[in-house]
Amino acid sequence: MKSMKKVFIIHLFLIIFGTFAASDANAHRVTIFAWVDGDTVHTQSKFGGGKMVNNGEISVFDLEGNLLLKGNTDENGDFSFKVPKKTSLKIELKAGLGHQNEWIVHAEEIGALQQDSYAASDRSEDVNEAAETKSEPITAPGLTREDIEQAVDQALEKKLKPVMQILSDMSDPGPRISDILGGIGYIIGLVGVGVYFNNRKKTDSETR
Amino acid sequence: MHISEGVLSWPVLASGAALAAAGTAVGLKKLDYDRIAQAGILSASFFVASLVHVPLGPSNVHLILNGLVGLLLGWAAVPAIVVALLLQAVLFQYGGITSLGVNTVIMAGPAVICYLLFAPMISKKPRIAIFAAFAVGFFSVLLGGIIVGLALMFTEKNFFEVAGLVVAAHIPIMIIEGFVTVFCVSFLKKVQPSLLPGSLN
Repeated sequence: MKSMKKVFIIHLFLIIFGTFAASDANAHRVTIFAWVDGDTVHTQSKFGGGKMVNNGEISVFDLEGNLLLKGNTDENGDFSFKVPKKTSLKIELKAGLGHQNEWIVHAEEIGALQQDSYAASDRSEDVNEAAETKSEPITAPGLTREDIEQAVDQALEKKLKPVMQILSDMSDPGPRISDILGGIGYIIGLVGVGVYFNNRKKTDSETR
Repeated sequence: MHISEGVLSWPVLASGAALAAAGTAVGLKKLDYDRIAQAGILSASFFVASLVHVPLGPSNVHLILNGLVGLLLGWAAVPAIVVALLLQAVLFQYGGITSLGVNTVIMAGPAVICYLLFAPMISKKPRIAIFAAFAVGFFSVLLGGIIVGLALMFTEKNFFEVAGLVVAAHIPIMIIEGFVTVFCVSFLKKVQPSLLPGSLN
């Protein structure tokens, strides 16, 4: 019986610590989601349950921890800013009263777009310098490569906006019914454990 | 009311955890066999109550019910609230694991204080009992806000500003909790008075 109890306790610990390990590190109640649009970073901040963070404080850092810029979200929880530096950005949200969270925009997300356009413009300049007539057949008359790129970017941004919105919505599904029922189940289980140990104590003292 | 991870400095977290552990020990000691089921049910109510949201200002507030849990359980409210907060942190990402101790102090501390202050009045005349029940709901949230201010003081510096902000944000919840507690107490008085403090002895 004693070993049974030990096994039981070990299992209980395993369950509890397994749950700890499984839960991800960002255990917070507000969420921030950010995506890059050309040279602009859009962020959306909201509380669990879907309410937007109105006038939350946003600070943007690089990965060394230098503050790059600060701002506040509007009533839709949105805050956008021009990319201040071509590195990974850590965007920190402080929603007041001890609520905070962060999102990291990786350099590739920013870099990819920017380097592409830089490289492209470098190239097109080279082309322009080398032989202006050569670039003409590729592009329509009156349109440079940059113009087309910009137009495509804009169109893509427009098309991708709803997708980003969906991603943002999905980044915080809020408590699901399974979470709620699971929690209640845990509590009922703990009650059972409590009753079990209490009962054992009782029967032990009765038999003696 | 839940303080997220990474907001507080470690001395605050450590002292919160120590206080919570002590409170839990006392609570478990006082929790006798007959009331385990009751504690579990109240723990579950507390766990779910935080999902009832009231959008307000820059933050949003939700029912807490710590007063009610405290009133019905006394010291045993501390373990009940610890369990519920732990599950909220793990399942809902409310609060956090490292800030569990501090959050326990924020919610269970006022619960116990209100129990000690107002529980003797519950078994008195109906009018006094109703006042006491309202006070339990009201002050348990108010005190919680003050403790949030104290905890944040070490990071955001200005105690009165932070505490004022938290308290102001929770005024509607204080009133709502007051009425909820009155409702529960008067209901229990009619249906199951043995659950209320003071009626057992």
